Amino acid sequence: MTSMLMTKIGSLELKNPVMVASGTYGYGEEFDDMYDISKLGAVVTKGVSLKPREGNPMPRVIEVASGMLNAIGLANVGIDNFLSEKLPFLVSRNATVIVNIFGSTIDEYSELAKLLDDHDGVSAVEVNISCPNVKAGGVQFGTDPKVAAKITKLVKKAFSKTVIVKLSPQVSDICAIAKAVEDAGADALSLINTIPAMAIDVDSRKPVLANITGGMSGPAVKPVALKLVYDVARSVRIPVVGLGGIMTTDDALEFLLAGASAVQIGTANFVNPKVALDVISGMDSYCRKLNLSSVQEVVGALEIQN
Amino acid sequence: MDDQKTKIISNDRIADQIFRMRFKVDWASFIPGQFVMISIPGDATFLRRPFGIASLNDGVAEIFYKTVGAGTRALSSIPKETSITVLGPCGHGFQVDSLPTTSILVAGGYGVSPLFGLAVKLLERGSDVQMFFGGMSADDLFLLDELRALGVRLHLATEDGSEGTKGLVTDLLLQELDGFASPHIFACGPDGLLKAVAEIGKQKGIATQVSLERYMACGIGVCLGCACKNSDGKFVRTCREGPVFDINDVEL
Ligand SMILES: Cc1cc2nc3c(=O)[nH]c(=O)nc-3n(C[C@H](O)[C@H](O)[C@H](O)COP(=O)(O)OP(=O)(O)OC[C@H]3O[C@@H](n4cnc5c(N)ncnc54)[C@H](O)[C@@H]3O)c2cc1C
Ligand SMILES: Cc1cc2nc3c(=O)[nH]c(=O)nc-3n(C[C@H](O)[C@H](O)[C@H](O)COP(=O)(O)O)c2cc1C
Ligand code: FES
Repeated sequence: MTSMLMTKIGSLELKNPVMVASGTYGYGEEFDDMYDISKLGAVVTKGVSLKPREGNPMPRVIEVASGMLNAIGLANVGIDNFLSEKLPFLVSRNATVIVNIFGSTIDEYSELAKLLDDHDGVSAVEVNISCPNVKAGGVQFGTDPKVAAKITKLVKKAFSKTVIVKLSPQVSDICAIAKAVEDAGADALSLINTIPAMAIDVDSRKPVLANITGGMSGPAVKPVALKLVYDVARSVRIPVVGLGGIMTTDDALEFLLAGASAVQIGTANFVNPKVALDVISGMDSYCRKLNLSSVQEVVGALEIQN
Repeated sequence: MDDQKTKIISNDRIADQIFRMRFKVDWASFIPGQFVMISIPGDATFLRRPFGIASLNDGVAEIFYKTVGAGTRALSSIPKETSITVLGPCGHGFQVDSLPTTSILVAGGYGVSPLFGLAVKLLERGSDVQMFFGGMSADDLFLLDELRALGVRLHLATEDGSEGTKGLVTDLLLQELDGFASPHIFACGPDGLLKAVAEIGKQKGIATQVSLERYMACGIGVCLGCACKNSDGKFVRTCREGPVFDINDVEL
């Protein structure tokens, strides 16, 4: 690939604007058999917390029309194991690493950020204040602009590189949260996390997920995500990373046109494990076809007639 | 493991609700118990569906599946020559490093599929293969002629008595088990069957491996949606650490 796809998110330089989304790519190891993961714009890791977490009881995933629900509950290996085993692997593969972090308390976010700051292999953190599937923390931090700002400030103070804050779609005014986080010093925003949702088995009259509710992802959420990205990109000056239901190059381009500087691909990795490579080469072809010198010319290039 | 586009060579009904599908793959070998994630053409499903690999001959892989829902029904109506994408071989299969004198295979319904591949491997290496095969009715018992032709000794049971002994296949196993010389047990089927088999294995001190079925979104270990509990009560991924587990390593 050429420099045409180069993208900047704050001070972070990416080979291309295509990342893989947290929770849909593990810590990269599983894809190593299939392709060179350093080709990705970045790998965003599964959410990491201070202590390992088992997550919610089973069942915790289910297919729905054009998508899926999950209530994993941020099961993860914990920061110690991440730093001793997962990060070295990602570094050995030359992957650009963005670590998604999650705390049950506000202070845990800053502790995690501090621990990650010492590691050259970590290019950025993505602060998850938007998980719908946990009792403590998660989305509850992402719905109050004051709390969201406070977490952002603490993480900024503890972490010297790029800080991306990941927003929830389930708020009455996403732009208010976005602005609060921007004012608190975030370098970029990413959205959307999954949309709270549920499914019911009519035979047993029970919720399908043991957690009762979960978060919806996949193509079903794309139009919602796109509108939120469009709104947020127009209300902040910092870069926006768009995600939600991206399956194809055109889906990704829609997010760029709506104002996202980069995209993440999540659930699509389950359906087509090589989808991210397809989208990268698709974007390259698109830029060549239109004779663009940089993919950034597409960002926010939505044409609205009035 | 790789993901590849391939063409369906054949996709035929072989029994009531049971289909046999064959397609070309690039991989040279597989371990019985491993599975493929198949993307089903059309709009019936969003996620892929997992199926145990039954055999691989001259680059042609074979699966057997039962139509139980929208995805498998859609799959059953897809004509040969259609393109599908197949990810595999996935997961951790049956381990036969130490070859048992007698291999006892316990199959429930379409659980026979991965055990077919295992039977081939065990017979090649000289083990005596005894299969206990159970289902609700005779319709659930398929591949019988093929298994006999391989040299597998069959012990059949159905809950309605329409084929073999009437009752649970695990009860039949318990009755006949003491007659076999230094056996190992390998099982695949619904959780109830696996639980009963694990109990028998533990009681009698017989090395036993079971292949679990769990709902799977990704099949490659990244969604964490397929977890089952290991012997310490911690979640492990059925698609990666499994689907085959030693009974001492998994909580059923
Ligand atoms: C490792 C592995 C290997 C497999 N190998 C085979 C095989 O060789 N042959 C074969 O026929 N099938 C096999 N299966 C099962 C097969 O994957 C499912 O039957 C299939 O995914 C069903 O898809 P569907 O769209 O037809 O049904 P769906 O519409 O997805 O489901 C149909 C019904 O079954 C229920 N259901 C589906 N999956 C489960 C589950 N895991 N536990 C409890 N209820 C469930 C649903 O709730 C629904 O009521 C295997 C599964 C696994 C995990
Ligand atoms: C199984 C699963 C696990 C997820 N885990 C996380 C997580 O740990 N942290 C996080 O910020 N987002 C997590 N997400 C949300 C995704 O990163 C993404 O925001 C969302 O799925 C929408 O994008 P998509 O439609 O492309 O999947 C998870 C999503 C799925 C499907
Ligand atoms: S099916 Fe996704 S981790 Fe096992």
